[in-house]
Amino acid sequence: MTPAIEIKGLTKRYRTGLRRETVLALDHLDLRVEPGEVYGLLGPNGSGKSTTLKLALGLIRATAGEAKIFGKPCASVVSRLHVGFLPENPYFYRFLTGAETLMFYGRLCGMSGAPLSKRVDELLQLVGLTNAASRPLAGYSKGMLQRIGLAQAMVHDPQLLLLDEPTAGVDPIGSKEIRDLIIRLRAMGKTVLLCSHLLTQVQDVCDRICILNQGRKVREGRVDDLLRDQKRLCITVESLPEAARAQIAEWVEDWGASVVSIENPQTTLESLFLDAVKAQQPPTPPNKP
Amino acid sequence: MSTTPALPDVVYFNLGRVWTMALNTLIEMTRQKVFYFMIVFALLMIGAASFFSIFSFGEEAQYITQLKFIKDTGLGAISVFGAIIAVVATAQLLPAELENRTIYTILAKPVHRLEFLLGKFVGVALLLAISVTLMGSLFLGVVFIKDQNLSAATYHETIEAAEGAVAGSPDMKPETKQKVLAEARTRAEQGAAEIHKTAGYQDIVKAMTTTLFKLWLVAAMTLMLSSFATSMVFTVVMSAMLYFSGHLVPVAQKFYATSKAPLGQLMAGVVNWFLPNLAAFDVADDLFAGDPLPWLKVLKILSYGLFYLLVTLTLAHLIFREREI
Ligand SMILES: Nc1ncnc2c1ncn2[C@@H]1O[C@H](COP(=O)(O)OP(=O)(O)OP(=O)(O)O)[C@@H](O)[C@H]1O
Ligand SMILES: [Mg+2]
Repeated sequence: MTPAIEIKGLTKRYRTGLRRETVLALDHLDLRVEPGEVYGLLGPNGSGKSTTLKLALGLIRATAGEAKIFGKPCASVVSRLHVGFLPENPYFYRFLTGAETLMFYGRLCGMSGAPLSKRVDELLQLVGLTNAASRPLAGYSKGMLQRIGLAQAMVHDPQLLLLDEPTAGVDPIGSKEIRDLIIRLRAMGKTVLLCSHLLTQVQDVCDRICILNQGRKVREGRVDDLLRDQKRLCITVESLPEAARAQIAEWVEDWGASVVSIENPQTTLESLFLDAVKAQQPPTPPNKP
Repeated sequence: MSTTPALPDVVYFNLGRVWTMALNTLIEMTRQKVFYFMIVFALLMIGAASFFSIFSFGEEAQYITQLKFIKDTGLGAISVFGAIIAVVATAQLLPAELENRTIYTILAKPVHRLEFLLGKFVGVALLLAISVTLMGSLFLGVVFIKDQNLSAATYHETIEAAEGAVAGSPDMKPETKQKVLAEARTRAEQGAAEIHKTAGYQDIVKAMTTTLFKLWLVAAMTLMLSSFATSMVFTVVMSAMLYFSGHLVPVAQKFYATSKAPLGQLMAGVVNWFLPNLAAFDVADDLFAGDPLPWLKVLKILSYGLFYLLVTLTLAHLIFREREI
């Protein structure tokens, strides 16, 4: 089957300022997102997540490599026919109301008339903005803008959604609603590529994840596999006296095992993420101009 | 469940999307209260109209000068106000899109960059057309009122003067009186007609049409500059320079024809070949000098404008197509 997204050797070098300095934002990335899957793109700030999305949408030009969406090269307009995009920190025309904004994006997607009005009402309902529909976006809060951004991405009912931090600035209830929405989208057979820093949420919704660091892929796989294949064991206990710790450590070593750490428990993806990123930290080749 | 959509081979250029972008751009600019400048223009027109009435001498020649003055001020003001709107409104279009990142959401939809760019241009072009129409209507209104008042004044003054002369000479024969009054009536009608002719409504409409084309061209040049500029100040300054040098093209042409120095010839040639002659659109000067302006000549000027407009927009498209966003 044609993959929803296929990225091969994608490299992006930004030129910055007047001096001929460059930033290597993405370094030979290979990525394949199958139709119907929810794929998580993780990584610390500046690791190249947003750059990957912009390249896939043809907003910026790759230094090397290629990206295809549903088999179409990302530079072509055809590749965007079935894509919805929510940029990070979305910001829209301040002078348009919520409903007008969705109408505008719908028209750009070739929709019109009654079907469009119906779709707009539906979406406003879906993202919980029905009451704010006739207010200009200038008066929307950050989370409300995020919601209208999500609605805008879905206006033409695309098969593929690229969501850059969809829950940033959204309240906990809204955040859970967005999570449920993504799960519903998957049930409808849609493909979702999700960038997020909320690891528990990613763990909940994603089938597969990829962790980027400094523009390179450092881990990729099914969330279940990545989290299960650890040989490590974390036992959570409560009110263990200090003296007992040493005793347990001794006992563990008697069995030929070793204590890696004794610490407060973390969410599992969180520790995986930290390990992956930390392990990669020291070898940073200087960016050549 | 099918999750891979069947996609066509190409998405064709679509005027509907250009129109959607254009209306959105127009709404954006109107809600930014661009039309406040209309108040300034209105005040200027009223000021110009009442300027002479303060020390009016009540002579026909004087009335004609008044009307010419109002016409000159009005056409000049429409041209200058329009140029300011064309440059400033256009220069901020792309920077605003990039700064607010609205361009990401638009170009992430199945929208050609050409559709986006043309939409922006058509939006500004509509704004300019509305502005020129509004200013023009106001201007025509002022000219009409002034025309009515002055021609009526000329008429009555001429008649009254004759009646006064007749009343002041009691020994005049009745036939002579009749003749003097009839002559005065003819003169009064001629005077009023002269003032109507000075108002020249058709010429005003012609001048505004060529002005509008000039403004569209200025907007297209500004858009072309901002398609690669990274700062709005650069765009505004460069556009202003292009605007002024565009008006100097006839001067450069004269220089080109007479200069012997190779560098001077080269410079004049560059200006001559690469800049549209913006002065060609300023027909107000010709009208003021009393030269006739047939529609054929207007049409010639408009085709000249259209040619440069297409060239400029093509250039803007070629640059914008390659731009990183
Ligand atoms: N327009 C640009 N010009 C120059 N450098 C850029 C540009 N955009 C991004 N970069 C650089 O590219 C690298 C990757 O940035 P990117 O925005 O893709 O990171 P990210 O993973 O999305 O980070 P975050 O989690 O903060 O959103 C960073 O070092 C950034 O500074
Ligand atoms: Mg980012």
